[in-house]
Amino acid sequence: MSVLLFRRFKDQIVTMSLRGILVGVLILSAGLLGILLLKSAPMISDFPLSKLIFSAAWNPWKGQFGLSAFIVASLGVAIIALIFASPVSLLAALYLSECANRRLRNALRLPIDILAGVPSVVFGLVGVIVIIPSVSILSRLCGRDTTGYSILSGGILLAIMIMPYILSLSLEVLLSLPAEAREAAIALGATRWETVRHVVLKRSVVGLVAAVVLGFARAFGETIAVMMVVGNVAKIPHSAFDPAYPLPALIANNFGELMSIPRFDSALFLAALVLMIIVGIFSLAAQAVLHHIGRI
Amino acid sequence: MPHIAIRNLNVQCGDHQILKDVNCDIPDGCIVAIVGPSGCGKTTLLKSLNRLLDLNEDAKIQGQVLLDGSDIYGESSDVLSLRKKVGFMAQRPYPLPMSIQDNVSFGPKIHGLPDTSHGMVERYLRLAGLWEEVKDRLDSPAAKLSIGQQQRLALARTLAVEPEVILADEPTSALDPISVKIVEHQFRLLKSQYTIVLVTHILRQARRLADHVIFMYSGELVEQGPAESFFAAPKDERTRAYLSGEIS
Ligand SMILES: Nc1ncnc2c1ncn2[C@@H]1O[C@H](COP(=O)(O)OP(=O)(O)OP(=O)(O)O)[C@@H](O)[C@H]1O
Ligand SMILES: [Mg+2]
Repeated sequence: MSVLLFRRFKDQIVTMSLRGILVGVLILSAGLLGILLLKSAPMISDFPLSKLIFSAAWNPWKGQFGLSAFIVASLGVAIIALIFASPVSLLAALYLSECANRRLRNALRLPIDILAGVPSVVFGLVGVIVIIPSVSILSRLCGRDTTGYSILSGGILLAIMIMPYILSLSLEVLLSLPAEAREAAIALGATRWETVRHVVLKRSVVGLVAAVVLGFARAFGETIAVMMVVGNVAKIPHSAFDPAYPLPALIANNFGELMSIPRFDSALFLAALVLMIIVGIFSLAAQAVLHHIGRI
Repeated sequence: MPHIAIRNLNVQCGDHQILKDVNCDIPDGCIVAIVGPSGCGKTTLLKSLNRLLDLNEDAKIQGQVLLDGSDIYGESSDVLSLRKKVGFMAQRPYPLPMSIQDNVSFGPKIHGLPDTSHGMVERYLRLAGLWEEVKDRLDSPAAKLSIGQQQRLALARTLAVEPEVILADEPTSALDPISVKIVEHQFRLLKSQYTIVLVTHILRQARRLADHVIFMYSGELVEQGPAESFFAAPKDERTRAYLSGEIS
């Protein structure tokens, strides 16, 4: 009897502590959001939101705080990064999980994971000496003459950074699929590609989308490495060769300086809030897509 | 109907010898039951017959499996047409991640068979004794079926590619007695057109269904023969012990 009681007690303790931890995490996130809201409130109450978000006029000393150039820059580098990185990393992950033998797979897993964990400033340094000159040459080939500090450089750098990250995550997803799944299609005489297309991808799509979303969030929030190659000019870029100024770079470069300008810190908090909201919207959109797929 | 002959088949996984020099001829046009205690290599033997074992990177396969005289592990053998010809039903059913209907028509579609119609789907679902239960929800995901229903769906799916040999790994392990009867009945009807190799744990099922029995014990093919003589007068000591329930 006492054993049973003790087991129940243990069970309850575990349940309650897990619940407690979850609540803790939620409180932390809510607190974070609360602080951002609180600090950006002066901005939001003084200016119409549409002006803050859709205006590109960023002249803090004149009291103009339009964030759209930064938002466009952030979206720009992240989307360029995603366009380069996600097909490559998903295909590489598919190759490793479906075609490569286990020796190759195991040999590559460690380097991929190490690459995924390299501090971004290292990527930034390499980016400055490799990507910048390359993009500069490329721009000349395209009939423009630029320094190479551009949204394209930022995007390429981010792509290289998040590639191992998405690859590593999606490989985990693909390898977690049970052998029976592939066997079921193979046993019917399906080719490897038919099996991938009709079974493997269908069963892994949730995880793969999650991997890409995490990659996007990482690219979108990346600060240092992007800052080093993107030029940091607060104007809406009109081509991939133009310099730009993403939100995280804005915050990191300016916080603590120019604080004498009224409302300046509030504007930076608003920038952080926008950053968070965009990542949130992207995750929600991904969930909606998955929900839609799940119903089919 | 193709004739299967197994010659000196050895399968090794790492240090573990799973099949030890198996030799046998599978008579065509009848039901062959493979029996033996758990872990003796029944599934492995079955999977070696349509090269599903190739998926296991560790498995080293030596010897020959002759299908109508040509070695399926030989250089000229085409694994896709082999698997179409030799269908396989897994021990644990795994519905393809698509609708019930698409599960059945998937095989015919990839092989480019002429008939992928609704009527074809119905025919095979009826054959597997599943039609009545699913006819109103053919478009719903197959994963929502019960395990026993999934097993019968796997049977329908296997039959739909029009194989000539059916390998079935404990095809009734998740079924209730009535479904077992339906499926066993189907196997009896099918055996005039197919060669059927059936793994079963249940000796009574082997007695009911099999024309020919193969007894495996720790990777060896111990004894084989026509069902009557196999059950009435087993020759090997281990077979006798197994039949009397002393080893299981
Ligand atoms: N992928 C594998 N790697 C290593 N050993 C394996 C593998 N698959 C099976 N084995 C081993 O091979 C032996 C035979 O397995 P098999 O699945 O063929 O047995 P079985 O007769 O079908 O058993 P059961 O009746 O329980 O299904 C077992 O000892 C098992 O542990
Ligand atoms: Mg088995």
